[in-house]
Amino acid sequence: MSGAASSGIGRPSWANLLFVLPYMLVLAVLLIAPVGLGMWLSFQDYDMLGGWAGGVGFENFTNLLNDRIFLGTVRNTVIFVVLTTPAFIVIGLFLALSLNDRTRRSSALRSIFFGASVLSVTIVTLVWRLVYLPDRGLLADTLAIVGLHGLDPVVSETYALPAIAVVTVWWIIGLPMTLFLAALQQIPAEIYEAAALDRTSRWRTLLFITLPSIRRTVVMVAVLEIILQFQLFGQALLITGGGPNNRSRPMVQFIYEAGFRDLQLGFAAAASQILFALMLLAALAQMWLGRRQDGAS
Amino acid sequence: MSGLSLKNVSKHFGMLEVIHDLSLDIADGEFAVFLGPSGCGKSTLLRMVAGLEPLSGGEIHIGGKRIDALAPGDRGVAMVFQHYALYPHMTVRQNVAFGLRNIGTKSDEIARKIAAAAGTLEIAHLLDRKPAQLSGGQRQRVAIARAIVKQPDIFLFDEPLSNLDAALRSRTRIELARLHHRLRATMVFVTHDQVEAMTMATRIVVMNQGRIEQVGAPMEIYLQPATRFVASFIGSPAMNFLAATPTGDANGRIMVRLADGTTVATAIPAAALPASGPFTLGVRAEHVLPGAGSPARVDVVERLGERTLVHALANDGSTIVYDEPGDVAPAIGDHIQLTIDPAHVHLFDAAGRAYHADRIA
Ligand SMILES: Nc1ncnc2c1ncn2[C@@H]1O[C@H](COP(=O)(O)OP(=O)(O)OP(=O)(O)O)[C@@H](O)[C@H]1O
Ligand SMILES: [Mg+2]
Repeated sequence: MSGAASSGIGRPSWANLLFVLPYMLVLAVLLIAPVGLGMWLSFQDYDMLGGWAGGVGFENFTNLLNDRIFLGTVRNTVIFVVLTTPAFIVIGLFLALSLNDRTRRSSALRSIFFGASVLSVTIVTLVWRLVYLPDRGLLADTLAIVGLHGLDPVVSETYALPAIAVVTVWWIIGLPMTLFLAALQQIPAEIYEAAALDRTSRWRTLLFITLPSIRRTVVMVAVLEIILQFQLFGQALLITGGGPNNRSRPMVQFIYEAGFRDLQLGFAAAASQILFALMLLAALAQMWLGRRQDGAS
Repeated sequence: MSGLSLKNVSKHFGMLEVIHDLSLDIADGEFAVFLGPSGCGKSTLLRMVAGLEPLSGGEIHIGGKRIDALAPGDRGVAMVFQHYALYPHMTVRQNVAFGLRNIGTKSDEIARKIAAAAGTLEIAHLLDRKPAQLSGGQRQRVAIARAIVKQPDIFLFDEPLSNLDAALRSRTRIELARLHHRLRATMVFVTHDQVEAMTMATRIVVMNQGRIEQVGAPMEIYLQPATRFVASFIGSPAMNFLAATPTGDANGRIMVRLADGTTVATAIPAAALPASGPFTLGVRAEHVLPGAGSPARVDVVERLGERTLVHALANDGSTIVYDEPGDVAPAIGDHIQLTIDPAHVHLFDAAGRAYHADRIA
């Protein structure tokens, strides 16, 4: 070990810092400073109109934890993440497994599924507003065939959030699909050949060869989707506006309204801290689970 | 009864014809080695037997039963891949057990088979490790263990030694030969290394460009190569080839004149040879003797330890390699004289077909 130090390899050199310095500067100005500022703000009484009225300790947080609407948005957001993240993994993996070949048909379908991700949230919600249109929409027409009438998910307390989840999965399923496809293509063909010679059934091949080989990607997609879906905003705002009865209002919408409509910056910043903490916790738990399996298997 | 029989097997990838109408019978219990240069279609042929590559034509039978339409797992074959293809996230034990689990073997029987295979291949202490924690040689043993526990009719090996260092390779060669002797199983082994082929095979199948050049026991192929390709491919250093013109016969044996004017009275029956055409004389380094004879000049001296090879230039500029029998090799530039041992020369016609002296039994 001491020999390596004198050779210069593996020894920290201050010159190396020079190479990362530009990035560090941008990171500091655009990320670390705002995060710090946000944390500071969350302990202040800061009103855009009234200005800064000094520190208030944990008052913003205690107010939030007693705010029924805020707690409702936390509940909604968590439910939304729980609805969408497994769907992204299961459906994304299913699509990747089905389209992981060189045929023209698969390549066309891959483009189509990924294509939706390119659309902006306004277009996507517009399309789905048409689907969810009461009486004339695709959903209503389809349900009418099986004799169900008058279901309008957008104004239903039960179905508003799931309806937004469906839109979201439809919209950006392309990313997990692509990540899973990339992972599947990393698995050496020889392993599947060995499995074929070992008389492995398709089901056991999926379970014992494919899934363990892409476990890291599954964890990565899960963490990624948790972080992304906690930030639900546009779809909810445009499809249901958070209603009915706040049943589909997500945390980001609450933060947006507190900060930009009610101009209570300190209060909004405190809500952001809670969102941040939730995302961090969920992602850490997911990574911890992934790593634990790593050691166990 | 588990011989392997290929009948008019052919394979093409798109327009590229890789195997041409190939037929071959390998008897039960044989250690057959497919030997040939890179790209000649050895792996493709092996993969067709394993069921990993569909046939373009022909039939494959194992133990008298046609198997070329069966799934790989139903053919009664086990394969050891060049890069071992172990399941990376399973322990060695799980790797070996996986195929047995798939067919519903009972746990105690699996344990017994694994213990037996682990003993044979000396991997008992590695059973709980993952493949990434093994050396190349250990991985290779695991791959062989995985094949053994299945008790296949036929073992298929695709260059399994090519990733090992020289010492380990020669040790594994011996172990494989021993394993074959003990299991008495039919084995098909693919390699481009003639030493592997010579040391392990009971029969060598020399392939070139998707065709079989010769099938025979190792010494038969060494002593009586059927074609010029086989003669050049087998043996190290490669056989010397010299242009030769027939000048008549003595006692029914053909006599030829080489480009430098030397006449060689071969032991090859003149009647066997075609009437005319350019010939090439082939002679191995150990059958070129220094001393009296045609003049030559030393060009390169290769010291290999147990033997010394001298590359000499004849008068006409052709190169001859010979085995220097003495302890003191000549120096570069030395003028020497060489004789070709006429009893051990081969003649090749324009098509590459070989003619040999009658074998002295
Ligand atoms: N999937 C494929 N598609 C097209 N051509 C192929 C394919 N697989 C092999 N070939 C071609 O078939 C020929 C034989 O290949 P093969 O792998 O059997 O050679 P090999 O004798 O095993 O050589 P090596 O000693 O290098 O492994 C080569 O010319 C190769 O380019
Ligand atoms: Mg090969």
